[in-house]
Amino acid sequence: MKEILLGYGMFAMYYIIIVYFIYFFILTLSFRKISSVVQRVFFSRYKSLSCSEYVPPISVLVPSYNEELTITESIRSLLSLNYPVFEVVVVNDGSQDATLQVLIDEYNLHPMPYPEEQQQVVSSPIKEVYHNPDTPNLYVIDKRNGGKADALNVGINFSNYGLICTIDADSLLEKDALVRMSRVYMEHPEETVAVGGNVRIANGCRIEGGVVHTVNLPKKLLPMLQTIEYLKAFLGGRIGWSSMNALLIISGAFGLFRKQDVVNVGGYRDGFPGEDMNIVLKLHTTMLEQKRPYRIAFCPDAVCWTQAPDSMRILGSQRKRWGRGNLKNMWEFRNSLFNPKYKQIGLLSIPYNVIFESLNPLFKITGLLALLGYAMTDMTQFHIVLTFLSVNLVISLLFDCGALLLEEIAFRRYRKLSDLLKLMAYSLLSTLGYNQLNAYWRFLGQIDFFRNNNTWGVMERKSWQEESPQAKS
Amino acid sequence: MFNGNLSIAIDFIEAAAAAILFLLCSCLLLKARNLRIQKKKAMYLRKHQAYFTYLQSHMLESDTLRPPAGRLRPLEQHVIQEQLAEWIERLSGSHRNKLIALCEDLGLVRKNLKQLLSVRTDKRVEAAYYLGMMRSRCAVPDLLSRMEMEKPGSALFIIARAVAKCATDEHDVRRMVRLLLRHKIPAHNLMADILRDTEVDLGHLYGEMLEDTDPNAVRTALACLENRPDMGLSESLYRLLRNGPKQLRYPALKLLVNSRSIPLESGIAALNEQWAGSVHAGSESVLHEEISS
Repeated sequence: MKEILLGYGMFAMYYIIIVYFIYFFILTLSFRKISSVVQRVFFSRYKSLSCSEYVPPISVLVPSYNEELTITESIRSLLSLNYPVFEVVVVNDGSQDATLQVLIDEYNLHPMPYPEEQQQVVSSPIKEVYHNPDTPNLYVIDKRNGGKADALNVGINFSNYGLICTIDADSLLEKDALVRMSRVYMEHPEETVAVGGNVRIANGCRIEGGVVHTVNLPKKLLPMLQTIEYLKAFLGGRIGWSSMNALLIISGAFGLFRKQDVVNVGGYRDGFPGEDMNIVLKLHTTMLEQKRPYRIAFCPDAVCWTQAPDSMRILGSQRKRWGRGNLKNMWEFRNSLFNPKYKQIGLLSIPYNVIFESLNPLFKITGLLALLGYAMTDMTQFHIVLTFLSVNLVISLLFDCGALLLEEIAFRRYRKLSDLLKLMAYSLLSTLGYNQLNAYWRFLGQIDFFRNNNTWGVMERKSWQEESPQAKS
Repeated sequence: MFNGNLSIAIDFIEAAAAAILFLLCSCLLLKARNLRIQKKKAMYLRKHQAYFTYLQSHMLESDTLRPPAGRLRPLEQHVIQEQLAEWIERLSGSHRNKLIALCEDLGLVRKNLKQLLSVRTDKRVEAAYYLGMMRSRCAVPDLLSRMEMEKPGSALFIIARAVAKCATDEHDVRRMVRLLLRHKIPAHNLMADILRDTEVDLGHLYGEMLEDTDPNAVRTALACLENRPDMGLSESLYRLLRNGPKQLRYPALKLLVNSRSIPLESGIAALNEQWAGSVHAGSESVLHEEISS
C-alpha cells in the first residue's frame, strides 16, 4: 500500500512538472508575440481610427439577469465608447429584480414596434423592445428567462450589424476597447471570425460615470488573488495560444464575433455552462471541417473591467461552474481529441485542456493526499510532501512572474512600485492555499458534471459605487 | 530509484526558483526604469512648459519657430517630439507646416531616420510612427525600403500609414499600396483608412486600382471611394459593373448610384439585368434603403 501511495504521488508530481513545461512553452510564445502587441498598442492612432468611416459597425450584446445594481453604469460606459457606429442591445433575460425598470427610467425608454423576428438562430420570443429616439443606439429587449445563451441568441437575431460584441452586464469597457479590437479584425477581415478581449478586475479601482478613472489593486484578499489569476490566464496564456490560432476560449465578459459565422454554427447553445468556450470550439471545428482559412485572435490591449466575487461562496460557485463547463465542452468535442483533421485544436489545445486543465485539479488533490497518506505511515518521509508542494509552488510562481513581466513590458496598468510588490507577494500567497482551493472547486464542478447538474449557481452583484473607493469616502 | 526521482524533482525546483528570481528581478528593474522615465518625462514637461507656451503663441506669426535653448538630452528631445507630433496631428495648414519645419530644425527627423535602420523592430516602428506624424517628405524613400523588408503584420500597416502621411507624390503612395497588396491581405478597409491620411490627390490612382487585375486592389479602391463617390471615376465603375467579377459589381453599382452617375431606378434595373431579378431581390431593397438614407 505504501508503495502504491508513493508511486501515485510521484506520478502526480511528474505530471505537474510536464504541465509546467507546456505552460512554459505557452509563456514563451506569449513573450514572442508581445513585441508586436507593444507596437500596436503604442504606435496605432486609435483616436483617428475611432472616428473613421472605414471601421466596421458593431452590435454590442448585453445579456442581463438581475443586474439592477450595475446595469446603469455598464450601459453608460458602453454608450460613451469611442467608436464611430455601434448599437447597444441589452437583453433582459426575465430578471426578477428591477433591471428592466431601472433602464426604462434611466433612459426614458418606450415600447417600440419591432420587425417580425427573422430567426437566424433559435431563440425565445421577444416580449417587448424598448427604445428612445434620443438615445438612438440603445435597444432594450425584454424576454422570458431562458439563460445567457438564449439571451445572446435573441440579441443576435435582433442586431443590425455584421459584427457582434458580447459583454457581461457587470462589466465596464475602456473607451477605446472596441476600436482596438476592431483594428485587430481589420488587419485580416476575411479570416478573423472572433477576437477575444482582456478582462481585468475592477474591484478597488476608482469608477466614475461608468469609466475606470484610477486603476488600483483590490483591497480585499479574494479579488486580489483573482487579479493575479486573470493576469496569468490572459497575458501568460491567451496571448501564447492565440499566436498558434489555438485559443479555446473567448471570455463571455468581452468578445467580438463575426455574426454570420456565429449564425452558421447555430448560435450559442442553450442551457450550457461554458457557453463562451462552446461557441469558440464550434467556430474552430466548423471552419476546420469546411477547410476555410480562419483566425481566432486575442487583443490584450482591449480591456474590459469586471467585478470579481469577494466571497468564498460566490467564488466557489463560479469556479465549480467553470470546471463543469470545461468538462462538458471537452466531452461534447471528444471526437476532435487527437484528430489530425482538427489540426492545432485536435492535436494541441483540446488534448492540453483534457489532459492538463481538466485533470490537473484531480491529480493535484489526489497526488497530495497520496503523499500525505504515505508520510503518515512513515513520518521520516514527510519531506516528500514538502517537495510535492514546492513543485506546485514554483510552477505557479514562475507563471505568475512571467505574467507580471508581460504586464510591465506592454501594459503597465498598475503604476506604483508598491503595486508590483503587492502583486508579487500575493502571487506567493496564492500558491499557499488559493490555488489548492481553486483545484478543489474545479474538482467539485467536475463531479457536478457527472451528476448532470446544469444550474448556473449563485451570483451576487454589487453596485459600482459600492466597489469604487472614492464613492465610499 | 525513489531517491533518484526525488533528486530530479529537487533539481527542477532549483532551476524553477532561479528562473523565478530572474523574472522577479527583471520585473522590478523594468518597473524602476519605467517609473524613472515617467518621472523624468514629467520633469522635462514642466521644464519646457514656457517653451510650449511660446510655440502656441507664435504659431500665427510669420517667423520660423525657434528651437528650445541649450542642448537637449535624448529623453528631453523625446518629450518635445511627443508634444510636437501630437500638435501636428491636430493642426493643419501653415501652423502644421511651421511645426514640421521645427521638427527638422530640432534634428528629430534626422534622429528618426537613423533609428529607422535599427536592428530592433520596435525601434524601427517607433521611428516610422514619428516620421509619419512629422510628415517628413525626405523619409519616404527609407520608409518604402523598410516596407519592402517588413513581414505582414501590425508593423507593416504602421509604416504604410507613415508613408501615406509623409508622401507628397502619387507615385510614392502607389508604391506603398503595391507593397501592401503584394502580401495578398484583404484588409481593404484598413488600407482605405490609411489612404485617408494622405494629402495627395489619389483620383488617378483609384482609377488605376479599379482597372487592376488583382481583386484586392479593386476592392481597396471601392472601399476608398465608398465615402468619396464624386471622384470622376464613373467610367471605370461602369466597366466594372459590366465586365468585373460578380462580387465586385454590386459595390460598383452602389457607388455609381451614390455619386448620382446613374439614377436609382436604372441601378436596380442593372441589378436585375445582371442577376435575373429574383436572386438579388435582397440587394435591391438594400440598395433602396442605402440610397434613401
